[in-house]
Amino acid sequence: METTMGPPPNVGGRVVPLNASPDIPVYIYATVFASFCVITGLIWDICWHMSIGRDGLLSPPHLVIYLGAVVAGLFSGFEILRKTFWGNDLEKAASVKIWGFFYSSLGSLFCVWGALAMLTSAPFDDWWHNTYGLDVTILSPPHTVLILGIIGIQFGAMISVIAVKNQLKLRSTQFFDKKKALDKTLFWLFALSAGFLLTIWYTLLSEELGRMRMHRSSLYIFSSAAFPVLLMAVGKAVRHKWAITAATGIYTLLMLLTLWIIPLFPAEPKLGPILNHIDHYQGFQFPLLLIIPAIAIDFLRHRYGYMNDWKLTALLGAAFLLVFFLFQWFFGSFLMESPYARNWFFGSHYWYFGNSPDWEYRYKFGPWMVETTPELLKGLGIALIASLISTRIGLAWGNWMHKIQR
Amino acid sequence: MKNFVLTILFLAVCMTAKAHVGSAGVQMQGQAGPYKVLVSVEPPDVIPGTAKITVYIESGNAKKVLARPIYFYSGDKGAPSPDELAQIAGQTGQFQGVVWLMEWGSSSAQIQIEGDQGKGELIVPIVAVSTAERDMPKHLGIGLSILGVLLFLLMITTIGASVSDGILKPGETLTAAQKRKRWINMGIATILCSLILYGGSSWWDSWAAEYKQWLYRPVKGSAAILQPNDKRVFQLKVDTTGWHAQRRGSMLSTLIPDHGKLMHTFLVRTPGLDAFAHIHPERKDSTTFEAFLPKLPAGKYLVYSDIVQRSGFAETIVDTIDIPEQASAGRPLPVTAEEDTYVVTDPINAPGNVPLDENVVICGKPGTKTVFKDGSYAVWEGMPNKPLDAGKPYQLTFEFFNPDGSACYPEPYLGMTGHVAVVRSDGSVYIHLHPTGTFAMAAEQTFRDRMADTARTAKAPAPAMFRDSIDRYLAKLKAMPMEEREIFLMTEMGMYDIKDGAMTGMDHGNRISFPYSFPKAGRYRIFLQLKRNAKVLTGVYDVKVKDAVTL
Repeated sequence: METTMGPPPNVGGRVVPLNASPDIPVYIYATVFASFCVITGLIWDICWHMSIGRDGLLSPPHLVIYLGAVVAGLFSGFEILRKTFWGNDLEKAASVKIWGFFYSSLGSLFCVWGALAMLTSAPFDDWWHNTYGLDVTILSPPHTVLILGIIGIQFGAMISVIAVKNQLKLRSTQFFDKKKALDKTLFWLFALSAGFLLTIWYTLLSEELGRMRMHRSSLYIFSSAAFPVLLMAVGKAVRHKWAITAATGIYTLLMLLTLWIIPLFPAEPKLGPILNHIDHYQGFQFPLLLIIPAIAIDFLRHRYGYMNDWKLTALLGAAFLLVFFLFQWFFGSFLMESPYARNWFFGSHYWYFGNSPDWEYRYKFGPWMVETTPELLKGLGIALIASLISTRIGLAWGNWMHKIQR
Repeated sequence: MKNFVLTILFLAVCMTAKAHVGSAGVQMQGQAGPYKVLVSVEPPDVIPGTAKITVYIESGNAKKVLARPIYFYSGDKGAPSPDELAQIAGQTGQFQGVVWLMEWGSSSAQIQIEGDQGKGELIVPIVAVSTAERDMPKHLGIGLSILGVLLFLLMITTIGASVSDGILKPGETLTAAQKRKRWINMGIATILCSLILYGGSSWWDSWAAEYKQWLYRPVKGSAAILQPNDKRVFQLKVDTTGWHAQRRGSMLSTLIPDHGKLMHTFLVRTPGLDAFAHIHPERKDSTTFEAFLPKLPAGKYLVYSDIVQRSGFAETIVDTIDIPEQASAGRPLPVTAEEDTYVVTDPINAPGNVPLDENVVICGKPGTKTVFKDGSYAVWEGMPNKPLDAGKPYQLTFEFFNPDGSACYPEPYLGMTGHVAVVRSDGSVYIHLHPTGTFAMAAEQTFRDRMADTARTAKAPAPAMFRDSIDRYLAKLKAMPMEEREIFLMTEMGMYDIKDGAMTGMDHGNRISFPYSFPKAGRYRIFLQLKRNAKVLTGVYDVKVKDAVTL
């Protein structure tokens, strides 16, 4: 009998079975920790500017941010070099190859990019201050480079976790219990990294999202454009019923803890004019009630998960705006006007030292901050369109993240 | 009159802020309670920025020196708590630190000293304006460009990897279609990143344009000589074009007098710097100032006019002017203010070449005796023919003698023991100094008043009303006899105690010091003005300044 050995069938590559005992690499913890450092450092830095006003390159909040950059950069950079020079074939097979030479995970690439961008921003910012003055603006070109770097690190952390989580599915089932436990850990690492990313997203736009604007449609337009994209992506990236709620919960918790803890420490303004004398840190803002639309979306996702992305877009995009608007509008009235909001819990009494504490609109919506009903409705219409577009992009982005393997 | 002579030099301010011509830095010699100090301030050339402060304790033993910035707008109540200045290692009695100047405009540094003789304080006015336009240093530009290119390439590569092998299971390899997709996505990423970079660069440009709009622009004025009825009248019209946009608004209505005069104008004949006048133009309308011209010879003159705003913000208006010959000499010329004065001397490049005139002095040098027209003389303590170093704080110290060689105590001239005008040979540096403060005296007074005022923010006055009140005050001053006016001015500046009928805390002598730091190398001419027997005397000295040698 003649047997012929033909070439193996062309299947477009081969899948390497992963039989080794699964574990979460250390650099995953390191990058999530780095992501935590950069965002808490940033919030602390904002409180520092609201309370003390001036700082130096090596101020404590800056050091926390740099720590995040260094940890993310070093761990990810080392991971890339290790895989490139000392990695085994299996590790290389589970990596992306760039510039024809380096082996890396996608997350590490983003982290290294972020750390490099943060590094670039330091001398740029220093020169900027000497040239155009010491700005205390969140968004200046060098600060933007810094924040892009921070986002790079945080995004890298999230991607790294997803890749490991997705790889876990490929592993053999012989370690079932351990796998399950690992999957749970990875889900929480993912929720943390997504929550940190959401927090910076919020922080970036925080000047537009303050309590004074909660009766203006602009707040809902900004929110609808900015948040669904990330929330939907989070929901799609991992299979978990409460993924979005978990990420917004982390955001809410981080915002609340910083709001409650930072003002416990003494601080005094060091820049004139000082119209409002304080002796402790001023807190950042009470979080937006994103967690409520998040619960609604998670519920709808779970209930109508079979729909295609276009139908989901209409459902989830509209639901986000509706639920968010309803709750945030009334909560805005409370935060702004109620004496019960002027305490450590809600923090409405925190006030920039350069502003007069006797300002008549400190606890009342200024006339320029409220709109007529037609103006508001028009604004909400724009917000709805923004929410739908943002949702659709978010779903597509989430689909991609769900596929990340390396 | 001699009894009125000032001696204690509390706040010898020589403001050489950027709003002044060519001089950087502020030197102040003064008395902070029991301590005699020299304060040197380098204001930032970009606002917001930090001013570097050096305090030299000249007498007393200070343990701690504190500094804090006080802005006119927010005053004492709105100023931050002080920071301690660090003691300079190895230099006893020298302290250094910074104060943060966040606001554009009139500012100050309050210095507090604690030591074995108790506490003392003084306040140094600072004009906080952005004056510098910087380019990026080459090495930084190259470094940032390399990092930028790396970031750009890495981002595109990462995006490429994100849509290709990043979503393959371990071990899978890219198909041709996936490879194509990667290239397409990298192309899109390149376009997007380029657009982002373009947007960023436009943003940067707009930032730079915005900054340029807020760069300090000196007040412009045009000087002219009017000749009504054969008299020569100096006129300065202030150009207010674009003031609304610069938020200068009604600034000219809120000028305040500095030791009794709303404007001090110095005329210096160029190129020889051989004729000099110190006159005091009066306000004719909101933008026009006029004064009769003394008997200056004809020629081209540099014009420097000092003004101070209510907030203590001091500026100099610069122009040049051609002064024609006096048509009919002989009869006495009218004067605007009794204190107006002039002098003629030898040109800076042709020593000894002095015209014959009734008001002539011979130019001297450090260490030489310069004889005034009444036979009295002053000696500048210093080594003759030894150039001074640029950027180094000096005490320009003069000793004043009667014709018989006995010590002569200068009489107050506009409430000061003396005035000095320093001009560089090309006119690019000019400063008006006093031992007790010049316009900074008014600025210092402004800040003292502001600190006593507990209002958290300074209210802007009604311009027309403010201007009227100042005009009435000036008319009242002008109507006083000279002696009474001098007492009045000194009392106002806190240097004369009515109860005692004498100068307070005299350290009375015939030596007068003017702290100054020459900003750059060159030839400088110093016009020293003193008063004796109710006559203003002007002495002229030349000095060479060289770039400081750093070891």
